[in-house]
Amino acid sequence: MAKKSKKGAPTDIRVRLIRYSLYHPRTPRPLRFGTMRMLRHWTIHRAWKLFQAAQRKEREHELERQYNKMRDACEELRLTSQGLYERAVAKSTFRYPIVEFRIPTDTPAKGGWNHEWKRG
Amino acid sequence: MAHRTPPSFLWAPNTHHRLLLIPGNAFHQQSLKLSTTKPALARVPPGEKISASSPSKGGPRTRAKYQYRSPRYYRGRLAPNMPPPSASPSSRLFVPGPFAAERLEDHYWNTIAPDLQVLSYVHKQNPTFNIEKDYRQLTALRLPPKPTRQQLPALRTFRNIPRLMGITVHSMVRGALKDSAYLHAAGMVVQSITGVRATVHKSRENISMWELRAGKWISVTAQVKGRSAYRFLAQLIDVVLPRTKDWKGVAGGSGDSSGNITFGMSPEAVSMFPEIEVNYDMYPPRMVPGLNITIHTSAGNDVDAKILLKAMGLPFDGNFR
Repeated sequence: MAKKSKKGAPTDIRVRLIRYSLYHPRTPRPLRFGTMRMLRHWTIHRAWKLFQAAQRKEREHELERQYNKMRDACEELRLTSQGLYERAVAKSTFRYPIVEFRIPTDTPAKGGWNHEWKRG
Repeated sequence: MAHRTPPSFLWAPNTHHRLLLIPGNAFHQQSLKLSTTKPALARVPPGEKISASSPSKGGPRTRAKYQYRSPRYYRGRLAPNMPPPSASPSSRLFVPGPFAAERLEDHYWNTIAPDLQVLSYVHKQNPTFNIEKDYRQLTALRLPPKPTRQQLPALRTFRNIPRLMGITVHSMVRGALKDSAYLHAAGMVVQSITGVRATVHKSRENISMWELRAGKWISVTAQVKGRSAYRFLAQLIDVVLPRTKDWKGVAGGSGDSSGNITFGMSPEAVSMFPEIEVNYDMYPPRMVPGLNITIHTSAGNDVDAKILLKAMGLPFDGNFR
């Protein structure tokens, strides 16, 4: 039986489905764990948080290490040869990263490297 | 609470050691062969069995007298009882996962962030102090420097390499003024592509040209943050945007001068999302909306934000301004 709107025309079944799935109040009850299962969950959660913290710290330290090396190398070059240093730190207007770089994937394309490709 | 050591009474009564003291017990020998850890458990009748890992499973099934119900909403710091933290599975906000690493996030930390650091490096040489010249210059009487409107360029170090902070998906639905079904369909589209519940907004102004009146529900937004923001952006870059026809790229002049880049997507482009495409027929005809997508970055200016997004693979049309 089609539900009638005020004008009398039946509402689209798809609209009714969308409204139902967005606004119906029937949500599942919160998940309850027993003591041991909760303990397992908590242990795994703490381990994951620790791993994330270690990873974040490692990433920051790696960037800092690279920055310090870069600064030391520039300073060494400046003290060694002024001309080479000025050519090394000279800046053009914009310097972009490699725009042709794609996000690496575990399942790359079959074709592999396209040797015929040229910058458009 | 769960973080304490489990109390010993939860474990099954272990008669293992007592049995070990009786030699020549055939049953004991057999049970030792079958399972060396818990030989006593096999002999317990099923009605009285208590599982060590989940004690609620075995035993007589009686409901506990006291059933604690956590409050549904956070009612402030001073409320007598608190909802559980969102990481707890009993929380209503609990989301299981993550189940996979984000490729774009890994790519950012492995490649893009070091590249951007090298590209934006400015060498500041160690200060030298010439006592005759600099001392006189520093101690000379002079007026304070004039204030300038010019903004200082951000000094990039390893601390402030631009990062992706979040993505806001916004859609203003004109059809919602006449029929709320347009707004509901838009909310469904936004929710399914972002995985975030969409927020509905009222219009604030009367615009007679658009037949828009203040106080009418007109638009939906969703804010994606963290890992799912990387997922959403990777999906845009790899799947959706390459399939849109006659689209040159994000306008090079886009941006709000503080590092947030916005671009629009037509309804045809939105229907290219895999989540929409698989059940495109479930949306009423011409009710899939166009979207405005704002990418929030931690770069203080537009150019750095666009360089970041370009390195991530988002195509841009025209020069950066």
